[in-house]
Amino acid sequence: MSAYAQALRQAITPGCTVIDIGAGPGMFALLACRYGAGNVIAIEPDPSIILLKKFAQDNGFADRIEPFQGVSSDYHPLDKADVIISDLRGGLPYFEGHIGTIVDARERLLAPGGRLIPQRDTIHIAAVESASTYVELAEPWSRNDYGLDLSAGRRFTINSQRRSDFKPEQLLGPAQMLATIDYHTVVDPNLRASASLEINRGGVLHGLLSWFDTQLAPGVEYSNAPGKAPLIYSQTFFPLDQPLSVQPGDRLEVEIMANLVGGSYVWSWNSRHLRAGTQTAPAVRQSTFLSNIMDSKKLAIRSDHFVPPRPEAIDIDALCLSLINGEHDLKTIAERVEQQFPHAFAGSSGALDHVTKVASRYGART
Amino acid sequence: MNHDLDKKLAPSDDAIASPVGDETVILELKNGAYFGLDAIGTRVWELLKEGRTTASICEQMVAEYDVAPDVLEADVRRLLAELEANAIVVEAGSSPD
Repeated sequence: MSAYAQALRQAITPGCTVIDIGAGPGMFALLACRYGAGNVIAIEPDPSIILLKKFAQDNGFADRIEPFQGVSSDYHPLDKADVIISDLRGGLPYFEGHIGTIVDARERLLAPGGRLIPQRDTIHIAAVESASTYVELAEPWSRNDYGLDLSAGRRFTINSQRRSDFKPEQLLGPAQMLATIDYHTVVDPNLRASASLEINRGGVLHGLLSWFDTQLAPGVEYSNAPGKAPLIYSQTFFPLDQPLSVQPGDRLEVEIMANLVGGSYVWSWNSRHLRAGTQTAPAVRQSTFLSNIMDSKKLAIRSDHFVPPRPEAIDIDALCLSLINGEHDLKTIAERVEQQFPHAFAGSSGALDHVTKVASRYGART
Repeated sequence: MNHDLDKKLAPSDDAIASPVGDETVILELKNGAYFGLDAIGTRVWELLKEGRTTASICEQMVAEYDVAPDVLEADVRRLLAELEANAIVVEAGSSPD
């Protein structure tokens, strides 16, 4: 928080316009006013943004803060901002809509010469030893008190990532820089990068550990690396399929991919262990896609060739939508829908609840 | 010999295959498209991963399934063509983009 405050103080000029994306209850927006911004737009889809109106009044900033409840891609101002601040990352910057949101904001909402906070993130990766973390992931499927074979479940946890705080002494060799995201120029939300990790102490290699350093403004930086002050991000652990005994001089060649699919990232990590330049075992391919338990019936409906049947639910919603035309209140619509589909609802309250949900889904508002 | 049957295809680096029962779901990472293989398609996928040519895959499938060779060959070639068109498989030994 203090690093963001410092970056804001550095970026703000008297009377400037600031946009805070993913504002939450509006801490950055309030600070922006404190540091002299003339106009602050706080964008947040969550209802927590409603608190900002009261905070702004209580701090004398009500005439300068404009809360916008929604996503930044739906915000279309007349004037552009001098400063855009955000922190939309997960454990790593490749998280949901973070990069896409900043790209859109940079291109539509930022004035020429305007400043972005953060400016740049650098992602690092290292080989790491952590028996306790690995046991938590693998043990429940390998061993139980009842002699049951649960090994089929192991694949789902060994292909998942986990956020946790590790110590520097758990690293088996120096970290490598994996990628840099310059928010002034980034366009591609995906990652594909390789690293050759040197092992410089003997031990057991349980997985890969990743973290990032960020530059919020010139001279204003922080990192969630092992050994740094704990932050909300922690580090991200990618387990290996099997733990590997390693010795000094070994190398682990890794390829990491993060692909944005349907609004969430699919992470993939491929690894090859080399000793004296020779690969010791077949390369291993892992992915968070393999951690998903899938239902083949539900997947079938995603096929281009699937011909969906028409359930009654579509007819119910079609009637709701035809009546949401600015002329009828929700009670009237619910009565008409219940009259036509009496068996579909548990009473008039059920019908009203459903109509309200349909109206909300399509953003019906005053 | 038919050139197509001599072809050796391999899974793309951008395709991740996940077993679902005796079927397979494949995610093509670059375009985010899902592709489903039924049990027979899954067997073709397994044989393809072994590094076999199309001809070898057809030969093995004929041995395993009670189906006329020409029908099976047409089905296998159609499936492999669809996988290749969707970038799920590439010619073996070709580099990723």
